[in-house]
Amino acid sequence: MSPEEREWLAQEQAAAFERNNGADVHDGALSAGYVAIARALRQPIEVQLPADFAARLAAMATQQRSAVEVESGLEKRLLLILGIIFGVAALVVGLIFGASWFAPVLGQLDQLGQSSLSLLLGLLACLGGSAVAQRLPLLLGRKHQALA
Amino acid sequence: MGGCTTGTCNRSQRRRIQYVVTIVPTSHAEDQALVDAVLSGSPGAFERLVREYQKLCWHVIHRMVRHTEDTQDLCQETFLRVYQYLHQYRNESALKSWIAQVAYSVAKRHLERKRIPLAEPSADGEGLSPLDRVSHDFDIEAASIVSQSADYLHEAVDCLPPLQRTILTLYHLDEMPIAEIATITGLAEGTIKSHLFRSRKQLREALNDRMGVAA
Repeated sequence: MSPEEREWLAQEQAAAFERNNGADVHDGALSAGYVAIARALRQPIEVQLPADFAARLAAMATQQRSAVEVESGLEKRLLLILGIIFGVAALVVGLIFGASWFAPVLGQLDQLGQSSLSLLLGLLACLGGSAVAQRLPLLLGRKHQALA
Repeated sequence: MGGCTTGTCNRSQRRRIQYVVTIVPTSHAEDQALVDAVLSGSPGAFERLVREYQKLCWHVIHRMVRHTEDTQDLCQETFLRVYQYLHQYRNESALKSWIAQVAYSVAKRHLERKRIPLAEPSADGEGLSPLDRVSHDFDIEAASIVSQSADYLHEAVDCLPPLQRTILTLYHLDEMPIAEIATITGLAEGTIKSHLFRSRKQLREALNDRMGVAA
């Protein structure tokens, strides 16, 4: 056994001796030297938090939660209204100008060959795959936010 | 002793192993029940959670930052963060470790903002170890050797770098296993052992020197 291993054992023996209120045995002067240290390290630390700390914090958390709930409820409603407005506007514009926009596009698609179309689809698939690969680590890392 | 190191377990050994395997999640089940109660907004659940873990939170943060008012603020920040992210708690570890982990990261960020190093090298630029900064003003004759050494040790622990103070407290006072401390601090178990070993050795040497002076 190396001197370091012996010293580690002595430290651990002293720690166990103090943890078990002297029921464990420690042998040798080496571990005896660590008993005072283990005892000092086990001295309770005074917790200087107000007596109503838990109650106050619970009230604060509940307030925050209801504020967030109200905010998110309002946000959801506003988003829904906006979505409906945009949807209706897009439908109206599409009905008025749609024919003139889509005719040239359909004409060009007819001119494109079958091979060009597959190349275009392949490119879109690559872009989609790359976007998913970029977002995946972010999604997986989200669970560690509390610790960041 | 009662293990089956050769790979051939008898029936009673297998039964004992099964018992150990099934008993472990039970303690986490209590944690999960408390978490579920908080998440479902059960009255008094979060207050109970805070009351249960405020002492541990104080230990971690106060050992790191040493400033009482900052510790109070950071404890509050920790529990608000716990409340905000509690839905992310997975039953893989004890709630105690998860909360201590949040407290540790809150305190660590505070120290980083204040540019206070988390772990100092064993000796500074002038060749002084952190324990050399312990006051030499003890009234040796006024106190008994035992209480004097205890006072000296408390001051010596305060002079250790934040990380070492915290590891010593979690191991000795909160009786956390090394693996759990490694999870909380995000360090390897070997690193935790090394910090424990070196800090206790430093304290012993400092105490020996001190008592040598006293004698």
